[in-house]
Amino acid sequence: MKHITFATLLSTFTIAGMENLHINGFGTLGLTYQGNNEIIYTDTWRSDHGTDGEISLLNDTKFGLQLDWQATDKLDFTLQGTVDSEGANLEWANIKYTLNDNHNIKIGQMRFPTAMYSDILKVSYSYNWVRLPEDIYGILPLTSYIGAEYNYQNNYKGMEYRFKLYTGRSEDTMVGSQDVGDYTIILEHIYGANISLNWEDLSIRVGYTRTDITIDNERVNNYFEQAYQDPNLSSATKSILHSYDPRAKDTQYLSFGFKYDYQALYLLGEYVWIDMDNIISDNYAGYISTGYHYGVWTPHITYSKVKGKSNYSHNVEDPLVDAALEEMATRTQTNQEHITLGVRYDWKSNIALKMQYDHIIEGNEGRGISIHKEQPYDPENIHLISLSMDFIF
Amino acid sequence: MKYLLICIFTVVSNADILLVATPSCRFDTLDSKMVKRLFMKKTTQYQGEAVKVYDNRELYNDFIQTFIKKTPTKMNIYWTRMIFTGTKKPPKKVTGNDLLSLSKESDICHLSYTTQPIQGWKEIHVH
Repeated sequence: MKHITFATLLSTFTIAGMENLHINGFGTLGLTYQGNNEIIYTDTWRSDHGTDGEISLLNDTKFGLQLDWQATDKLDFTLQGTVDSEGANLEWANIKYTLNDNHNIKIGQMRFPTAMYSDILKVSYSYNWVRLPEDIYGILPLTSYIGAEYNYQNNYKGMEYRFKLYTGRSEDTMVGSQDVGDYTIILEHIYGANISLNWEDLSIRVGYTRTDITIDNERVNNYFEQAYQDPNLSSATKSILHSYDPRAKDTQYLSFGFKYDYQALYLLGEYVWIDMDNIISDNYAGYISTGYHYGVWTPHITYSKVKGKSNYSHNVEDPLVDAALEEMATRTQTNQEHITLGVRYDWKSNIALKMQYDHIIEGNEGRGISIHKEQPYDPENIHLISLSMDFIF
Repeated sequence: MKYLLICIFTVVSNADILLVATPSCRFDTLDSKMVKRLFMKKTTQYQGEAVKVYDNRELYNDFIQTFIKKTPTKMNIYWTRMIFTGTKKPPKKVTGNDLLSLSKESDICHLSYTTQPIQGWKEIHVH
C-alpha cells in the first residue's frame, strides 16, 4: 500500500469514458479555541465568524471541489467552488488556451495572485500552517477577479522564470460592524504583474498590482455627500474631504516573497505593502518562517507583523468632520504582531494533520484583525490553539 | 503470504529503476535535469519533439526520490498546487501492462520507467 500515492488517487476520479474530465477536491476539518469571549478570532476582516471563548469549527473548516475538462490539447476549462463558514464561493471559472510550453492565456474568474500563496489560499494541504499568516492574507481586500491573465514560463541555464500579467475587475459585499453596516468593495481597472524565479533550492517572487478601489457603504457615502453639500464647510475643506473619499481611488500592492530549501530545512518570508489614496490606511505586512522536514513531521515557527499607517493628517478645520475622519482612518489601520508555533504530520499521502499555537499581540495604534465585541476598542493578547485535518482527493 | 509480500516489496523498493521510451523517441540519453523537468511537466518537449510521460504506479515513490530528488510529500504538495490553480495535471499513472500496450502507438514518443526492460521499449541513459 505504500505505493498508493496522491497521483494514484487522482486517476480514480476521472470519469469513465471521459478521460479528459477530472474531478478533484480538497478540504479541512479544523477546530480552533481562544478563551476570551469578548473577542471573535477571525483570520481575515472579510469574515465575522470564529472562536469566541468556545471551541469553533468556523475558522478553518472548508470543502472545495474542482472540475477540469481538457477539451483539446490546447484548451482547458476549470471550475472550482468552495463552501466554508462564509457560505458558497466560486473560486475559479476560466478557460485556458495553451499556445505552447511557454505561453498560455486564461479568461474568466481567477484567484488574485497578489501574494505568494493567494492563488492556493483555501487549499490548506499545500502549506504547513493551519492557515496562512493572517497579517498578510487577512488584509488583502478581495480573493478573486474576473478578467484575463497571460502566463509565460521558460528557463535559462537551470534557472526557471515565470511571468504573469493580469487585468480585470472584482466586487464583493462584506459584513460591516453594527454601527457602520455592510459595505461593497469594488476593484476596477486592475492591472498586475508577477515575476517568479526558481534557481536550485531558491525561489523568489515579486508582484505588483494597481487598481481603482471603491468602498461602497451607505453611511459613509451619505457622510461625504452631505459634507460636499454643507454650505458651512469651506471649499478648501471640501477639497480635502474629496481626497479622503473612499470611492474610485488609486490603490497599489507591492509584494516580495522568497523560499529557500537547505536539505530538510526551509526558510520562507514575504512582505506586502498596500498603498491607498483615500482615508483607508496604508498597511505594511510581512512574515518570516522556518521549518524542518523530519520524515513525516514538519515543526515550524513563524513571526509576522502588520502595521497600518493612517492616511489622515488632521488637516480639516471642522472638529466634527475631523473626529469622523479620524475614526474612519483608525478603524482601517491594522496593527498586530503574531508568533506561530506549529507542527504538520503527513498521516497519509493525501491527509495532513496539523497542530498550531498562535500568540497575537494587538497594537495600540489602530486595530487587530479579530473582532472586539466591547467598545471602545482595547487591544488584547490572543492565545489561539488550532487542530486541523487537511485532505485532497 | 505475508512474508512473500514483504519480500516482493523489498525487491521493488531496492530495485534499480530504468528510464524507458518508445522507439519513436529520437533521443537515447537525457540529462537528470531534463528528466526532472519532463516528469514535473515543466516542459512537454525535448529537442523539439513532444514527449508524453507516464508514472509507474508501483515505482512512483522510489522514482521521485531517486530521479526528482523530492520526498513524496513535497511532490504531493507540488501537484496539489498545480491542480488547484488550474496550471497542469500530474502524469498519468500506469502499470507495466499499460506500458506494453502504449508501445503500439508507434508515432508518439512515450517516456516512463520500470525495473526490467520492456518489449517494444528502449532504455534511456541518464547522465
